[in-house]
Amino acid sequence: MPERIFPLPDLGEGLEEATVNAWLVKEGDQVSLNQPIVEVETAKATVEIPSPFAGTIARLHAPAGETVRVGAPLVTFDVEDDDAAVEEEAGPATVPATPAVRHRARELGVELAGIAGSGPDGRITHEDVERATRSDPSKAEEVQTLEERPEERAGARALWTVMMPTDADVRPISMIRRTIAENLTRVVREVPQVTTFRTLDSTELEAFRREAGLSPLPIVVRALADVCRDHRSLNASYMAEQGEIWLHRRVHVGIATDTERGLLVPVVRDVGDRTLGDIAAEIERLAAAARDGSIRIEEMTGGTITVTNTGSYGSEFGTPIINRAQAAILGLGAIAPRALVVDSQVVARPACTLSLTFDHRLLDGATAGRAFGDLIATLSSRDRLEALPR
Amino acid sequence: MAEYTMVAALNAALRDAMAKDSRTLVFGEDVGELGGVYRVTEGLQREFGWERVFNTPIAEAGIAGICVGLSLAGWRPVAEMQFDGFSYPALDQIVSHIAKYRNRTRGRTSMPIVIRIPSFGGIRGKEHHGESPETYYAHTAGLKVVVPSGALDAYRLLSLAIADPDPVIFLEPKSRYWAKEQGELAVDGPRMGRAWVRREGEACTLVTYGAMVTRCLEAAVVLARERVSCRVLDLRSLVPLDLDTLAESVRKTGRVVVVHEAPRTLGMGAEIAARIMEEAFDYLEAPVLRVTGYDVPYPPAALEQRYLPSVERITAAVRRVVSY
Repeated sequence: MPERIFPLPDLGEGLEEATVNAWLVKEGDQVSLNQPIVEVETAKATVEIPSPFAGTIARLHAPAGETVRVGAPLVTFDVEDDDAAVEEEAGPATVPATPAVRHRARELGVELAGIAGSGPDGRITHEDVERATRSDPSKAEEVQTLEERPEERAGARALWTVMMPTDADVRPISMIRRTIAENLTRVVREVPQVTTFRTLDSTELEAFRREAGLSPLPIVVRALADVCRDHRSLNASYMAEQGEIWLHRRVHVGIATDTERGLLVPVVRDVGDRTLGDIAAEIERLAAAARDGSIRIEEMTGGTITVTNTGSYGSEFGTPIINRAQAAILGLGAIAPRALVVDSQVVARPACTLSLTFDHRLLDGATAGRAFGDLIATLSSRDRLEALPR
Repeated sequence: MAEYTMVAALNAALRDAMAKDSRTLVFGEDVGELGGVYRVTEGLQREFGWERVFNTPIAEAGIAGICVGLSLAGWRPVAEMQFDGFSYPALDQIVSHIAKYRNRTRGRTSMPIVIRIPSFGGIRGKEHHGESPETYYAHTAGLKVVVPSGALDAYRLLSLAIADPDPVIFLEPKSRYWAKEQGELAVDGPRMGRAWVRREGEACTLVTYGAMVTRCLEAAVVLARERVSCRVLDLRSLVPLDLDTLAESVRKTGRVVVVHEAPRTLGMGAEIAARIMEEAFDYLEAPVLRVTGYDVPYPPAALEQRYLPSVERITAAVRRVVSY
């Protein structure tokens, strides 16, 4: 029976490596197509990988606990299918890549033969080469100080860094930090976004949430979903390349969640169909999964709008940056007593500032302002709050 | 600001050269009283006399041969071939003598000759009136070959060609003869042998010359709407080729499409693609593509625009290399 090697596939999200959590099969096992064979953990989530073949497990290439990079061998199968194996052996002697990519690979000392190309016709792209370098363990996780690098002192640095102190501790940018940075940079570069603020007299919200035994977050999330239904351009994507605007029918709310590994944004799906209690429980579940790393990639994708609770660390308000392909993000400031003017009297009331950052290509200021006004109206009216499904 | 057609600019270049140097002579079929089929030499005979501006018999080999003799006698001939398709009888004199004289005399005798040839298609002409003869000349060592794309550069290039000590084949794109350009006629600017970036862009370089420069600029505007920004490189000089600017363009954009009217096989595109491989291989993000005329005799007027590179064919090639 011919052997077929199954490399760790590209898990999406720009992930470059994964750690084997647990093998679900052992050598000698018979497996069927799509049977889960291994659970791996990435910087972002835990993923079960299905078997690409039917056959017998010949060899497991990494014991549990070991980190494997994308493209490296994971499992060797003995398969029945002769033809497929012949095809494999008769594969091209050289891998497809443009001269520029080959040149870059030589500069970086990357072997193209080991890389699975992600370009048209399986061509190896610049991104594939860069990824291969980043995930090369021999080049990872070295911590140095600048003083250990003579070439830095010799003036090889860019002019603007010359004035910087040279006693910094240097460490490589982690995968998740890089992903966060790339996403944010891209959105800031591509999307003309503006932030608008409203102060919410939170008296009714506080009274309601205490009675209901909830935190403000699920209530705001649910109220936002209702506003999205009335103001569809708030729950939309500006697809510049397609020349289209996508108005989403359902509201999937991302919840910006602080974790030890960095910011993650798990998504509460179909918020419009959920009760407050249900939303609260789902936020709780997702946040816990995000923090302990058991969250799955599909639980962090597909959001149509995002809420970030800047108040959770005491900030009065933020100017959040919207997530890719979304129209808006709502920032929720800390609720605290403030001096408000009510019926011409200055009184102390629980209050907070909400910030709404929106994609100005999709929404004009007045459109966003009206939607924002509706949200404030719901959150400050006891009757409307009571009308939300518990 | 003044406005010039290419005909007026070429006429001015000839007039200025003749006024500046009394050794400059202009001759060819019907260039005298008529002023040439395209009126490039209009008024010159009246101004400089029939001894310096004169008609020749309909014998192109003779016109080129006269150039050789006059050069040896110290004159600076500027000859006109009436049309691209009529210039081939002169090839023997050009290839065997004009191109070789400096080498034959071990550098002692140069041939300061300019042969102007109204060239290329796009004018709904008859047979012999739409040819792209540049490869014949570019393949002959000892000749320089230049092609202007607009009026102001035509003035500059012709002035520089006449001042050049060596033979220059000067191919005038007939379809641009009457196109106007605003500005002042000046010799200052890019020298002969230098290419000219007519439009900056990052995604792909369109390498071209002559009338196709305008067409490539049109294609670049279409592509810009799709957010594909094209650099348009006007070669101006086919021999010598500006390899520095060519390589710089490849380094900058990684992608190249060569556009010319001449048939594909062994056209300038083949040479340019080969040079790019030699000079800048490591920077290529996609194969060099060519958008050219087809390997058929130049077609009759009704089919001419199907033969010539169109904006659609150019944009399609660019899209292909950009998404490679």
